[in-house]
Amino acid sequence: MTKRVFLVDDDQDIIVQNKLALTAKGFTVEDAGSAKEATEKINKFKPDIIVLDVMMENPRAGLEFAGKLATDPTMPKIPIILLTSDGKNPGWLGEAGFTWARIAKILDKPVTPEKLVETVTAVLGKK
Amino acid sequence: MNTLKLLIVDDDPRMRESCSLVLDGLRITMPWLPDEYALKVLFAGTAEEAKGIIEAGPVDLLLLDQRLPGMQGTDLLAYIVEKELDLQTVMITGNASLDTALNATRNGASEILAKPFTPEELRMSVTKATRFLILQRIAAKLDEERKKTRFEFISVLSHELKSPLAAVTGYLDMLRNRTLGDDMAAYDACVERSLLRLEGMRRLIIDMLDLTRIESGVKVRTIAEHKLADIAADMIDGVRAQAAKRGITISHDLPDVAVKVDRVELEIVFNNLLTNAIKYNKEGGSVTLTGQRIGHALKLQCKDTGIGMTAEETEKLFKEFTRIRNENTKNILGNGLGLSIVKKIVALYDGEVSVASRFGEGSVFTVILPGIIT
Repeated sequence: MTKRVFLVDDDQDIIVQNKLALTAKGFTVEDAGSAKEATEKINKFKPDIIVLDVMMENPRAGLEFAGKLATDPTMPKIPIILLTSDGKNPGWLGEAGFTWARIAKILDKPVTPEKLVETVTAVLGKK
Repeated sequence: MNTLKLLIVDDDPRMRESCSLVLDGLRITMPWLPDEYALKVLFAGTAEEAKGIIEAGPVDLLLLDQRLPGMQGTDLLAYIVEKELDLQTVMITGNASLDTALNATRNGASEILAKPFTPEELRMSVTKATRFLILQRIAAKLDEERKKTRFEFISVLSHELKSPLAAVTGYLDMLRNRTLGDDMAAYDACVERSLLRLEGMRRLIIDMLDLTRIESGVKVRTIAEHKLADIAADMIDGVRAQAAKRGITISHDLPDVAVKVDRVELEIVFNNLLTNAIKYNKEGGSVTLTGQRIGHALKLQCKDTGIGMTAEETEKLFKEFTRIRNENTKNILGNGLGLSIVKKIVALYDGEVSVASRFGEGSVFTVILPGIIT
């Protein structure tokens, strides 16, 4: 069965690029442009993995969504790849009260579609 | 009421006392400004003591005797200039020679008061120095705000220009790396998106030029009589293809009048209202452009059956680089300059632009241009 990737990013071009690249490699892809939209779509789409941007409708929208995935029992427990422009050592990395168990990988933007396909493949392979 | 601290520096206690009688609590108003200021007097018998008071807390004004025991008035003045302190000085001199006055002003005093002086002369000099101080502070604040606004504008602008470049670079990289294989057809979406983003960038540059031209006042305006219906018809023709792509119909009902306007300006207004009404519309929706003559004024309305806005969203709509971002607008390209341009153009005619909107139902933009119908 093809693996399902959920792309959550407010940059429409990053969505298009990654969607094209992932689809070409046989993944099934759904996208959302905000954490709010992601919350609405996630349980219907039932992804195997989420690629999640940190800064969307607010600078921490992605982190808040990741937190919700970790703590909300109605949310699927699946690996998350975080995309961030906050640098190699973002300040939120050490924050208390965050459950990082599901963060499989943090990638520093910009991320090429090839790199993303490679990371998604690797994370899913490990599972 | 704002309080300003005035430090009287004189070694003669009677002099300090009599000056204080005139100045303590003196109210000073600014011509054309609502603010009122009251003086609070402090004393120092020597320049050294004055220096200590100035260093300890902010002093706004100085009434400074030139001749003092020990450190002289001019020395204190030199210290103030060197430290670039934000205060104004009225220098009291024993003789009113031109040389003394010139020296003191050259050294940083804003007013010279020659002994003996009347209470009225004292009040006048201090009032003048106070007004000068306040104006300088206002000017400094405005300059600071101007720099900040300019910086903010440039940072948003740079971001808006960098973003399409990053997108197009991303698509070209995919083509170069054959990310999607060797079949060119697989890259159609990359090419389409790239062209779209480049068009957005071109639009942004044109809008920027329009905006700066209007703001700088450099653009030569050519006010002439034109038939309103002609301008509207041209602009509607220009956007018809864009509307047809999404099954949107455009209708209009405009009075048969001639308007005295700069044609390019009115075209920009029409174009922005129409393209917005199309972009933020629903598939198969409609756009209605109506005009009404009210005396010498023209009232234009552009109504759409689009996605509409919440009250909170309409509030910030006419600001530069404001874009309403939500799920409905995420695929709509725009730079957030269009309506601020419309607002600036309408202001050139002493007119008004406003919006009424219902979320999910549509918006009506109203532009009133006074005095353009003869």
